[in-house]
Amino acid sequence: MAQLIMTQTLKQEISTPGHSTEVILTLFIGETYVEVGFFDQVYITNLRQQPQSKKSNQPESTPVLHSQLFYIPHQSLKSIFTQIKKIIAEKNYNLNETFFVSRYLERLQNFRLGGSVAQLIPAGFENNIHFGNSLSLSLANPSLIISKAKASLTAEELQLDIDQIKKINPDCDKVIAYDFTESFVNETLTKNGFQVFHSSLALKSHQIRKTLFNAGVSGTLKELFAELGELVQKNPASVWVNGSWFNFAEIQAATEYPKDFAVNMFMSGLNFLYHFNQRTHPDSPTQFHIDFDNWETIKSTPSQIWKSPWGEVECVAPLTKEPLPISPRQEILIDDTARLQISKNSTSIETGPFIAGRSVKSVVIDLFSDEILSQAGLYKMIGSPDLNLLNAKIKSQFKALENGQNQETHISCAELKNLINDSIQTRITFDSANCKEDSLITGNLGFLFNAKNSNQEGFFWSQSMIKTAIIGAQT
Amino acid sequence: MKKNHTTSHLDRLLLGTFLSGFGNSSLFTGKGDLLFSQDPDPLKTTTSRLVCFQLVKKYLNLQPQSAVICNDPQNGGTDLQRLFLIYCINENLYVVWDQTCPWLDLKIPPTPWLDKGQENTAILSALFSATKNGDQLRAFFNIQLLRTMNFKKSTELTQLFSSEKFQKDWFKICSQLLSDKLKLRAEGEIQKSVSYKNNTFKIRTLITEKQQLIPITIDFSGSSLAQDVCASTHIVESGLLVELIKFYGLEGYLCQPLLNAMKLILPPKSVVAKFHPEGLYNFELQKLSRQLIKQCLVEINSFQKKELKKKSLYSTYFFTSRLIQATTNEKESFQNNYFSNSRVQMSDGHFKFEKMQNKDKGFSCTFKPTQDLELSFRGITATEDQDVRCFKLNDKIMMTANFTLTPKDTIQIEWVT
Repeated sequence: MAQLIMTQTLKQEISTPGHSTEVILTLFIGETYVEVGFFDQVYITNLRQQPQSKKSNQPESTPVLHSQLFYIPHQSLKSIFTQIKKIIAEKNYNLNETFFVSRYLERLQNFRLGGSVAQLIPAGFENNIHFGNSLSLSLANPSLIISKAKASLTAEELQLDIDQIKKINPDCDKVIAYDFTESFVNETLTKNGFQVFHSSLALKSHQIRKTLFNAGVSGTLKELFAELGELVQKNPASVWVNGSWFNFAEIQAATEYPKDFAVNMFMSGLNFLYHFNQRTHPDSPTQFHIDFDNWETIKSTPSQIWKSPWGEVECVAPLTKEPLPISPRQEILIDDTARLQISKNSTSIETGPFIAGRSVKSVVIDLFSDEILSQAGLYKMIGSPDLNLLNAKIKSQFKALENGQNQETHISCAELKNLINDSIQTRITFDSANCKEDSLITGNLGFLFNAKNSNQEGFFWSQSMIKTAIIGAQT
Repeated sequence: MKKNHTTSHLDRLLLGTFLSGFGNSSLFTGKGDLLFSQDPDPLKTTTSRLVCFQLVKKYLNLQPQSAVICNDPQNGGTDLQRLFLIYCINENLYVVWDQTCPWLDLKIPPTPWLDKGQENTAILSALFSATKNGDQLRAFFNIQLLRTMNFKKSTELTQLFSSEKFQKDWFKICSQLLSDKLKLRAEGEIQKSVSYKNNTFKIRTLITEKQQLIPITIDFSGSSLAQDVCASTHIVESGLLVELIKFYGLEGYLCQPLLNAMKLILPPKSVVAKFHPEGLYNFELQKLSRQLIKQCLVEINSFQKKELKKKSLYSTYFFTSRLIQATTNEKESFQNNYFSNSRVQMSDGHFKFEKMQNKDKGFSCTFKPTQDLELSFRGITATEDQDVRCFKLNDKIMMTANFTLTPKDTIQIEWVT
């Protein structure tokens, strides 16, 4: 089903030399890949003007002028944006409107945050921020703490501390002031090029962590939005935030992000998937997402606390993703007893899987190379010019893994692939048991696990985004 | 799934998936052998489940899709708040799992819960009415019942794991794997002794590759006789097992051949072999035994001999909090929290942190309950503990006990690092 939709959409490309076409762009930026779709603006506007009931009954697939996937480890995000602009110029498109969904920030989840965030804390309370779960990743750098008695602090004294902080980390450009509301504090910090965030030690830990998180990701968000701003220029653009399309112009105009914005932006993609599920399968609360980056179950959490990799963070509508038993980037290796094994942890995003051409490590996703490379869109994304060479390299790599094993405990890579398949399908079956056996699988690799109980459908970000743009955000 | 499945060491993936969502859980064969075990909770209970299972198997004829519950600390249980559930999938395959159930406050000997898939309503009604938390208990049992439904959904895996051929092959694979892993590490013998809360803990660890001998021997002979401080053998053994499989890289392979490869000598009535009716020292002594065996294994495999840091043994606090105005949502209304020198795990929902400060040798943390709650505090039982750790309620030093708190109360915990 997934392959079919992709083939159809590629075939439906329309070229109109000499005339510019008014287009709507859908842009999804994931952890490792970007999906873009250009849609005919006139066609979409007509659909939008139809009554709500008719719009809702429209098929999930909308004719696309051009769609493309980009693989981030192959190139920088900036270069991908340049290529999108190139497509617009080459195809003589006139960009009218843009819809943007992101899971890009999720690539931060294995890293400590707050490396360039200073904290101005009342003396004696320096350690409060460390409390919670010590297994969580750090949200703050203890060497960037300015600890001052609130009553006796002067601008000169603060300036000396700022100079010290700048010596420790010259790139430090954000600061969280805890209970320091005096105007001279704000002025001094701003004068020194700091973006100032405010918090209070009277708040609960998860509320304090939210401010730390906001400050920690603001740099990445800023870069992302700068690129997006350059692409869309003054045209209307919308960002998916917490269940609805948010006007991008408001984000650009604001001096600071709205409350909860960074947390919601972190969850933009997850929230979109959840919303998509609610709209298309309201009776199936369990949703599986299987793509190049994640193999996971998505669930909403009843509380207002998001159990993030950095500890508990306040969030209006947190979503959790539970990994399925196997992840796409777990390494396949020979262990110390010469047995084939799957590593406990996933490999890093760089350099990507073996099928992407540059890696020296085989990962789980490489086992499915035949299926993945037979997909036109996915093959184009990975972008290897010589498919035969790539296939030969992958086979050689697996041959080496098979030959490196102790012959008594030998297991072929094909058998390993079957095991992974069985394991994922069993988990999907188990989790589906609670929801009338019709759970939804989304994601560009969803077709790999055609579990018997799952109502699997082709899912493309572009198609789902444009559909949501047509019918509105309400379910 | 393929019809002619070839058993391999990677079947741990399937076994893990089969028990996904169960937490601390084990699979047993019809002959009573441990097929697979996992312990994600901080308190490890593999051997406790084994004891409960053996007891039920011996005295009760469990039919397929029938289940028994128990929590008796004298017979395999840990404390009243941890319920063990023994479920017969078929005559060749049993699953045993345990779950913290904060709503339980009475001893349950092995009692029928499910009979051929149907709940034993008479028993459950009596159980729900015997406690003030009947609604919460009902919700708890509904969740457990839902878990058993998975086995009906996955007939292929159930058939596979029930087959004697698979079980035999799996044991053979694990046995060979253990043998290979042992060859990669040093053999040797080491003895350690540590004094903790006026008790002596002696441990002798022997790792050998001689064929006629059991490869791993752990001997606690010479340890003090149990007085106030004590824990059951299965509590200590579960901790030792976890450290052993971690050290030898055998996670996912804990099964009967590994148990058979270990000879454990825990002298009767000693500090490591006597049950405590409330399980007061379970977590603490399991942690202690894990630290001891880890130290022994590291030293056998290293040229450098290090003395045990006594301070690091005084490491563990454990407290559970339960909202008095509880909802039926188990996760929301109940929390487990842990403190040790190396780790803090504390959820935000029930407490609001006021202050955390550096003291001369460690830290001090002050916090307040956000709502009325019951607090069960474990880990500080002697006045000598107060030098290294201290629990204060409204500025008064307190010991291990249960408390009822309101948002006006202040709790302070101090610990040395």
